[in-house]
Amino acid sequence: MNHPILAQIVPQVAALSDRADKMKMVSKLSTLSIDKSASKIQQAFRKHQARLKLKKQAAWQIHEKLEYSSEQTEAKLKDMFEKLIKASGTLSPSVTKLLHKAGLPVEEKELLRLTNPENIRVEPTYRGPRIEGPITRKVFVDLIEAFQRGQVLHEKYVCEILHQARTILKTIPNFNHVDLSNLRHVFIVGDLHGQLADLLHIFNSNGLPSTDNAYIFNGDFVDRGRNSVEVILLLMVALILYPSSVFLNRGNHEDIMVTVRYGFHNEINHKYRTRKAPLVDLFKDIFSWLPLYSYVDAGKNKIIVMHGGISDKINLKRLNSLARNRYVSIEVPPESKSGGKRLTEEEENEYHQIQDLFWSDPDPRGRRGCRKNDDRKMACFFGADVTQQFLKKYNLSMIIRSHQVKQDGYEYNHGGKVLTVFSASNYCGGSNWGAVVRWDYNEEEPWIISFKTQGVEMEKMSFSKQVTLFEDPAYHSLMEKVMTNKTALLKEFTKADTKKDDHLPLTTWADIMSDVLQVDLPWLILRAKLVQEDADGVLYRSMFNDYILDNPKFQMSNTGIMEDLYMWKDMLLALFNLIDYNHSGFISRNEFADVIKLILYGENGSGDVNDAYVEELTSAMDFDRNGKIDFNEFLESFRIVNVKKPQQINEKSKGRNKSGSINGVIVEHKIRV
Amino acid sequence: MATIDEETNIAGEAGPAVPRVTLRDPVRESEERANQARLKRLTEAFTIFDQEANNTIPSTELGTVVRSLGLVPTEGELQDVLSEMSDDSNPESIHLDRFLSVMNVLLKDRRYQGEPESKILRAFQVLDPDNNGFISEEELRNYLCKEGEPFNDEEFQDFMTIALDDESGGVCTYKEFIQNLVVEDND
Repeated sequence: MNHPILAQIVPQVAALSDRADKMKMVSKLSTLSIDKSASKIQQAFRKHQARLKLKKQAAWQIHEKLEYSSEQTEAKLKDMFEKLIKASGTLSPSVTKLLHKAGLPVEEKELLRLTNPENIRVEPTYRGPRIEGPITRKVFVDLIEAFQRGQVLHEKYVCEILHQARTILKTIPNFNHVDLSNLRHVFIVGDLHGQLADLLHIFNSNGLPSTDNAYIFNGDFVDRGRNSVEVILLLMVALILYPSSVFLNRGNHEDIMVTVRYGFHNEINHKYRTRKAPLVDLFKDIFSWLPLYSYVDAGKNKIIVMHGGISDKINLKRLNSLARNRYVSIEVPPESKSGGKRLTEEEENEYHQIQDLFWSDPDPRGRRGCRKNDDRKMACFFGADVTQQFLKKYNLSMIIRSHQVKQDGYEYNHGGKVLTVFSASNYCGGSNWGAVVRWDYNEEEPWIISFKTQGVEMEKMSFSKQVTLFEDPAYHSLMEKVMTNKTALLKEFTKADTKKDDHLPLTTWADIMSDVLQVDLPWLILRAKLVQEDADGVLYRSMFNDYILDNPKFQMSNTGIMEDLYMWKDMLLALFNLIDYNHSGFISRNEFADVIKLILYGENGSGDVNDAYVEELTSAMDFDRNGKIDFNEFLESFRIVNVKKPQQINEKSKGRNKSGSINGVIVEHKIRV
Repeated sequence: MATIDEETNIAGEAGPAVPRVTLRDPVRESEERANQARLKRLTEAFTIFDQEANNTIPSTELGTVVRSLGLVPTEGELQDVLSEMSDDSNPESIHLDRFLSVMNVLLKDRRYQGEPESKILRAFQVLDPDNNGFISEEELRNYLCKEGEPFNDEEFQDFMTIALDDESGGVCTYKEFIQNLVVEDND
């Protein structure tokens, strides 16, 4: 028991160590030391865990705020359209007409003709699933198995399904009436966003939809995930099979203006190249026929289920009687019935109600009343008092909605009166749970089932490795934002750098970051990953050292223009896809110039546009000098390159579910009441 | 360097403005800036854990927040900090203002600073009397779940996930482990 270290600390012990009666003292001392040592280790570990939690929360915040920030483009587009419709002739009539087209319902006869399944031939080489005869449960199961194997359904059968679903949807009133005294229970599924693995897991654990197994799907079936087509097809088939127990609510992503930017369009382009335009039109039409909300009669409780939320304007009577298919895109106001250019006051009100229904959120700061939704820049934040009044007015117990990703897959707000359910787990490379709600007839409260579908590798990883994996795409997105705003940032930094020594105080740097990037993040916590600093402050130029904004197709050396184009990338994409209605991938120089003018008009708010600048941009884009601009390729070839590691091209994680493999799914499952 | 303030003259009459010269004090300025940065840093850490965005955190989260800032109070010391910060009328949560005023002092006085790597290594060596360079899971469980400020099951599980990171077959080679554990502080 002659402990060497102990002997150094307590020399007397060394002298006594061979005396048996002193052994007790030795062991007591060593126990003390063990106690202290254990404490030191425990403290160090607890600090480590706390730091990890902080990193994780910070990454989560980046993720959330950047997502909102990108959704703000919807608001910008919407504002732009409103301005356009009110203003007179700043653009050429052809462009104006095309933009208007976005808001108009598709001509039915023509649409059905172009997508008539009977006119579509299936090549003998096609090896995928077939639908011969009426759609039955067997077809449903066959499709699930085929999709699980990664097969793509032939467009003939896609049209078959969509035609039938459309017929049914047209007969449904504006809301679904879900009567649990018949149905006994209902599962309420939140955002799926093309994540087929999650949908299949939900079916696996809770049973396929059937006459006695009812489901409400609360919107956002498409976009971001890799299998939006397969997800929406399965939901349509479920609707066809069991129209009295399968209920679909429209979400803000069931909207042509949104799907153009968030992946659904691209997926259709990729999987159904030959017939993409009419298919897009068919989906556009079907979206407009989706019901607005569901009313669940659970006996003791009456619950309303809608995708976004409510506001103080929501009038159910009005919502129940309006012509819902007039709202082709929630971002573009419908044509006024009065024939004039502007909407009447009543029509404006109706339009706002629709927006609120699909885009609102409960107030994140717990404030009362209804105010403009600052995160999304459209629709509302609604407070607990608004919820209370609404529920009271319509004799309801609760609102169930989706629209926002939650760490646990669900969240209660407003004293338990609002329940958010989100069913896409590990959304966009994140690490959240997905959840599904189950309400049984005459029960006071619902069951909530949380789950995660993720690749096997994730499970074996330590918490700190998981955090790193989650952090990387978040920081990459953040760096993209920084790089696109480089000019503006440097301008403000140099202005604030009064001593001209390339340093800024921490808080000054942080304030500028918030102001210029228009996003409120904990900059001081994040700074180590973004920028260098020393005793004199932040070396602001170092933030731009590691990355460059690159586009191999762009021959111009003017980085200012490149930054502008990158900054407007999303808007450009949306507008171009509208103009290029037959999806050829090209628009003419004039059309391009018109669109740039439109964006500048939106930014400046006036009709004055720098013609020379527009000309410069247009010339830069017309690579072959043939008057046509291949914009899709151009826009998609923008990337942020880490100059330290030129081989490693960091992929933007938009729409990519890192763990999206359908085979080898490991599932964790917990049930709460 | 001087800045110029304009003021009314000393008699208090609204006469012609008498320029007043204030000298800049670079030392005080840099202290001010450090103070501001510290406050902002504290607010950020607090806000990140403030789920309802109402300027409060649950008392149960205080440990995480404090440790995420790089301080390592013992559980006992943490209780002291908690009682300084919490409000009798609402003991379950801590308000940002109380948090800031207490934490500002703690940071300034450099209280509850963590141990350097060498001390942690020494601590492990105490637990490894035969100087093997590693400790088994069993022994770690004995020490860390019974001595000091014991881990609960969940904490121990998390600990072991990192401790057994290298395939050493059920033992923790603590030298490597320490490197994984000690996180750089940048405050």
